[in-house]
Amino acid sequence: MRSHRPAAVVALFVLSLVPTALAAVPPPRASLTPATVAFAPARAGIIRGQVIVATTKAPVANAQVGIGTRGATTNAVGNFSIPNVPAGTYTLQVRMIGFAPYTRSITVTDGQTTELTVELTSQVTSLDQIVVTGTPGAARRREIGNSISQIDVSALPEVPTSVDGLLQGKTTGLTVTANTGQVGGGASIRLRGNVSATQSNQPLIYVDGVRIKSDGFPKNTYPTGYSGNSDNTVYSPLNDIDPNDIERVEVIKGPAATTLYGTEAAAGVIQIFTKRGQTGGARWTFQTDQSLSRTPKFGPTKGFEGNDLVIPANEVNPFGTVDYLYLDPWLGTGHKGKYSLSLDGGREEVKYFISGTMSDETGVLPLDRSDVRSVRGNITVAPRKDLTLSWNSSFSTNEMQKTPTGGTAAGLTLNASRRDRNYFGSADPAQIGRVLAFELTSQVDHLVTGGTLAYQPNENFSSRVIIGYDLAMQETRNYMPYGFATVPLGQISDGRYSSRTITTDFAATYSRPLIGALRTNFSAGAQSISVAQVNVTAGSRDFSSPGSQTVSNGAISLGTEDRIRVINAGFFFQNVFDLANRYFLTLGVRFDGNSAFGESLGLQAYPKISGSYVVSDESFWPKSLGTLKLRSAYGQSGRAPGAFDAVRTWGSYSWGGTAAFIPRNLGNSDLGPERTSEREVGFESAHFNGRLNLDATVYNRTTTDALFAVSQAPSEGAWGSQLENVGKLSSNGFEVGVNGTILQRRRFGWDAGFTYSTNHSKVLSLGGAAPFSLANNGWIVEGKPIPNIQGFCVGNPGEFADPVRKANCDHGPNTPTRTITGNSSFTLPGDFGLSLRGEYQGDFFGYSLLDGEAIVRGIRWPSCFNAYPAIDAKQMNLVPAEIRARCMSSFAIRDYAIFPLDFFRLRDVTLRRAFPVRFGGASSAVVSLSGQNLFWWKKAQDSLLDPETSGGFLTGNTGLTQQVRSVGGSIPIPRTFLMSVRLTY
Amino acid sequence: MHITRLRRAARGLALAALAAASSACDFKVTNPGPTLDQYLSDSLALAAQVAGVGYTLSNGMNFSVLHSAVAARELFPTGQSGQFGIEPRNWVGFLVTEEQATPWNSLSRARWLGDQAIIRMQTVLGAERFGRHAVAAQGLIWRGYAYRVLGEAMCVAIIDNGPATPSRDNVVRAESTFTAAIAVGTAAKTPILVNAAYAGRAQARVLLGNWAGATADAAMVPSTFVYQMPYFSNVDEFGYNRTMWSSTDQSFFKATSVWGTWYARYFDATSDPRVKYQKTALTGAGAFPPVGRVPWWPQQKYATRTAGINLATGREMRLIEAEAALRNSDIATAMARMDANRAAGSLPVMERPANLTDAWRLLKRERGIELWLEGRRLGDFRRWQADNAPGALDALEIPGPTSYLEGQDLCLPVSRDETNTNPNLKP
Repeated sequence: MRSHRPAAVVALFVLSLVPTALAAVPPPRASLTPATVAFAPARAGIIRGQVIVATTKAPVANAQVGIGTRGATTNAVGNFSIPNVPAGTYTLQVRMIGFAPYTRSITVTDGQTTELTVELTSQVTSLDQIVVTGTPGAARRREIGNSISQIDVSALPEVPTSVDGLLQGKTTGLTVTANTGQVGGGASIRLRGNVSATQSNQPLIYVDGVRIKSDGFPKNTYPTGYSGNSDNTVYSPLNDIDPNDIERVEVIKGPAATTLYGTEAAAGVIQIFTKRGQTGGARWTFQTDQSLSRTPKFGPTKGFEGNDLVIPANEVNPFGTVDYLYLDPWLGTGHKGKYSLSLDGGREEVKYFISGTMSDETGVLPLDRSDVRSVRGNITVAPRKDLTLSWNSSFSTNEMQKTPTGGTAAGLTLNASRRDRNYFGSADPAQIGRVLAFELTSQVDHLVTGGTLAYQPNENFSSRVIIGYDLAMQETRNYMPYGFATVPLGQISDGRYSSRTITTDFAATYSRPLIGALRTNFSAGAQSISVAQVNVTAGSRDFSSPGSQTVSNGAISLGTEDRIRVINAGFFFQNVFDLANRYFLTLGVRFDGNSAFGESLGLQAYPKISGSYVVSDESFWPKSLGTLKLRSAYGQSGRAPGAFDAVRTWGSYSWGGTAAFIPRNLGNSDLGPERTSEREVGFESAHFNGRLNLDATVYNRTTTDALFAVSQAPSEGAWGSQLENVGKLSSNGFEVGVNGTILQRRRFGWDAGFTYSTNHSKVLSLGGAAPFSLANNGWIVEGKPIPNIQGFCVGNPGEFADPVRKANCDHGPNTPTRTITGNSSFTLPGDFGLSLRGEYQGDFFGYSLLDGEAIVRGIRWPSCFNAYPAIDAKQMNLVPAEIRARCMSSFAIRDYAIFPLDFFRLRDVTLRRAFPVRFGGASSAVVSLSGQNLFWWKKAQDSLLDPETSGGFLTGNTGLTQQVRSVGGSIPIPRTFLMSVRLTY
Repeated sequence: MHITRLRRAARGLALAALAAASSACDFKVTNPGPTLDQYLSDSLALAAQVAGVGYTLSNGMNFSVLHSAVAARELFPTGQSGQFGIEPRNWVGFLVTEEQATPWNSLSRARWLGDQAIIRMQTVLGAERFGRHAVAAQGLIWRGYAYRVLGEAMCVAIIDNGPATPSRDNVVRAESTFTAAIAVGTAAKTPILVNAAYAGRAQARVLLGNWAGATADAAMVPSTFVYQMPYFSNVDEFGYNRTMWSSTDQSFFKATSVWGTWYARYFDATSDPRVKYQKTALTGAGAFPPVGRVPWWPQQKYATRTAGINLATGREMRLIEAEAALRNSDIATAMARMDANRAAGSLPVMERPANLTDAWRLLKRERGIELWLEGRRLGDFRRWQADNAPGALDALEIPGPTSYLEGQDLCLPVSRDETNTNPNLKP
């Protein structure tokens, strides 16, 4: 499975690392102070000390300590050392996100060590914090009129094990749905719910200014036929980023902030900043994470009628239990061993960072495994004071195998849960286990490389150019060998997919005073994003003999090829008026086009306006009240349709050796992008010397010209549906984040925070189109949420009669309307730290595939165990209509398997301790013990599986970009116990 | 100083303009992939359009044949639904809108594609070439059968987003299309297509009650003639013969069985190869609640996934002649036609009917056997019911009359896709 890694990719990566490798060589010490070397022998001292939190005295790791051009980064126990400092008096500065900047004067004496302790004061939302996402260049937080969230990884008390997990529950308005409990799956990310009914709602992802693939990879499936016979997970490009390499993440949630990103940014932007070299000597960091995973009980605990489940003797299965839906024989303990090593350092002119990671993981299901190897490096060179060049590169490769699960006759979940009414007619694990001969393997190689050239000739003018290249490749193999249970003659497919994204980005800002205290910052820029995707799959079936393992061996072969290239390009102008450094007004417009609209790109204008007012800088504001910034923003962004949506096209199919044309897309030459406008108002404040921080936002957004899949009558050719700009959507919500220090004692502290986010969406107009289904009972209906879960329901649920089927029953929204997260972290005596974090998502509904497909087939289903005795005895006077509908297949339909998806998860509990060490050259160590997803609760206790999982019938890229969330045949997200050791040298 | 600053700013802006210009060029994107509509007007593309009509019709027939076979109890459901299965209401005889989308959608698409292909061929080829072109003849044949299948299987007719009208309207269009096919096929010297057109028009005229015309057309078709909708293995699973593929151990679905049907008892007694099936010790996937797990006795009429489904045969023509004779109370001619069919299959002659009503009973049985699993049975039931044709039907299920059928719809409904989008169907 390592066959398709092109040598060119490796070569490109190696070449891109050459400057990094060179930079990793520590510079000659003499070059630090050339003037001193030239005229006198060095006379120097050492500055050594510790950075701690002022209130709790806990050490602060990763703080930047600097004097002039020299500096150091604190280790895990807050210690730092700056050697070879010429004697003299300096201004020492200490900076750390989450704390107020610290400055003091310090005198260094020749040959002496100057020791000091720096006490930092908490300040979660500093108004002078620098952000870059959604702005033409770096901007101070006080200037920005829209909501923006920053996640500082070094400040997290827990051990991040994935980027998805890193984002989960960390900020308001952000929902991360894991989708699967199997290894190698990817999460769906939504910012403020769904913004589109038909287009992707996955936000754009940038890494160090370079756009990377943000949607999922194609599923591992045979090129034709039932797509469920496949890997039940969809791989996310975020899986390729080692969270240990991340410094911080910035999140902007909607058009009020994303206007400058143009047509594709309506669903928000997430920008990841990787670690960079810091001024100081070479610093090695080694980390190993060892974890064990187990699946929690997930079977129903109640019957459909709501009573505690009683399992009749005749339903007892000797091979498994209801607790695990009879999957007990196959559920084991997963293990992950991860090792990473990084080196960083440098001086003012050259800084470098390089890291490598190796990870081997096995899942809780017998075939699940994922082996990751990745390297990352960057170098920042400042040859002149006005010029900075930085280059980032990363390459990762992930070899995976999956256990067949999901909604397939060839899968474990479906056959085990149906016991003797499965496709084997037997509950015997020896029979069901035959599906394990189904091999689902894949390999993903991912290269991201790019550079930024920043030119700032003076304090008034700055400009930068970013060029980036993202190459994501996947090979999938789907192999049922000769003699396989469901396909006796066997079949195999091999899919090759690649996605190339080229980013070109230029922006410049000119700043100058206008009148008095009024300044203006004018920015202009142009960007181009080119995405080319190729997806080629070959498959064959009917092998001639055992041992056939290639597509060439099948008697009947099929192939498919898809190639799509899309260019999105535009330019923008923005001006920020700054009055007295406390009133800010930003006006901007972006002109943006997309190749889906032809060579002219169909340029669209997206305006923005925002303002912020730092009230606390007013003279009338008592300093004792802390800081307060009011902000308001309005902006527009869009989503473009697909490359072929505007034209009438025909698909060509093979029919008996001849080509046959079938309608594919009706075409609509008037098609344009959908346009989303967003307004938001909010404030950020800090009180009690930074002990209480508040951030609140109210937003309202409207999508006009919404792209709806307008169904066409089958009697006019059955073109299916055609995208038309006919709809109007809206959503609104409220987001509040509170972080505070509840207790501050020497050696003991308690910080806590919570976020509360709401999102209510509505289809304002269908533009005359008929209500349409998005699949899995998700419908777009005027006046209803986006999407609305609806279907048949039982019209007489409580009556002791046969069920009356009632059409078009509303269940409710499919995306969470309320998300609540909470976290607490404790500083304990003995330098221990304890943190907890939980998340609740609520008030939404979805279809459960495993239940639905079983109840219509007459499978004896656990949620009906309480009802079967009466049904079997034909005592129908004891069986109400709702139970008959769900437990008797003569009445059952899939729509009766719609459940509330509300759930709570204790996402993380971590106990950690940092301490100095003296072995093998290490200077500090951090040991963490974590439990992830240790506790969970789901509202639908009569349903099966995990509301946070999905999959089953998903195809193509729809895994992460799916508009309708449903519960598929994935096993639940496991509990994970992790021990992490990080050593710094 | 101020001038220097301005110069630097100008340099920066020039750089910005350069970057903008470079990123603004070469935005022409050519994406290979689906065929643009304009290319279908090339004369070399006409055959693929006609094949598209056939492919779509084969897809629609795949579903209409299987679903109507279960409702008519030509096959018994085993409780498997979903992929390659039968939906629960269909198990007990109902063909309801919410469960029946594909037959209507695919057959309607085939009809529409047939109309469009003919229009485009007439434009591209011109009237004279069209009138003698073999591809045009084939297009007319597929279009004619699309209309015939719709007219026989569907409850109503809807043309191009129009109002619902009696299904007879589709049959009228089938008849005229076959008339055109006879002319074009004759000019194109494609005798097989000419026979297929006569046979199709005979079927249409039966549905229209034009027995004289039907008999005249049937007489043009030799008894050995067979015209089938082909199915293939070198396509995706939807291109396989679905009646076969949905009930095979190979595909693991075992969705239907001959167990429980009248045909099982008849085959046990006669070994008539026309209704051949196989007894196995296996059961179907899923469960049909009144029975539990259903013994899986797969049909053997279609032994492979590439087995074609008869659209028309000479033997059916003989049965048309037989029925026409019975409508004229000519029992002798009717029996002669039926016996001729059986003799060709090395089967013994039929029992002698006691009277005309009994002869009708035998004709109804014989059509059921001859046209088994060809999607015709419900159409016959509906036609005979409308005509008050004499003669009883054999019990559909072995245990007794309709013991597992809760009802029986005799035609397939309009799909929800149509009712949701067609303004003429909105209340």
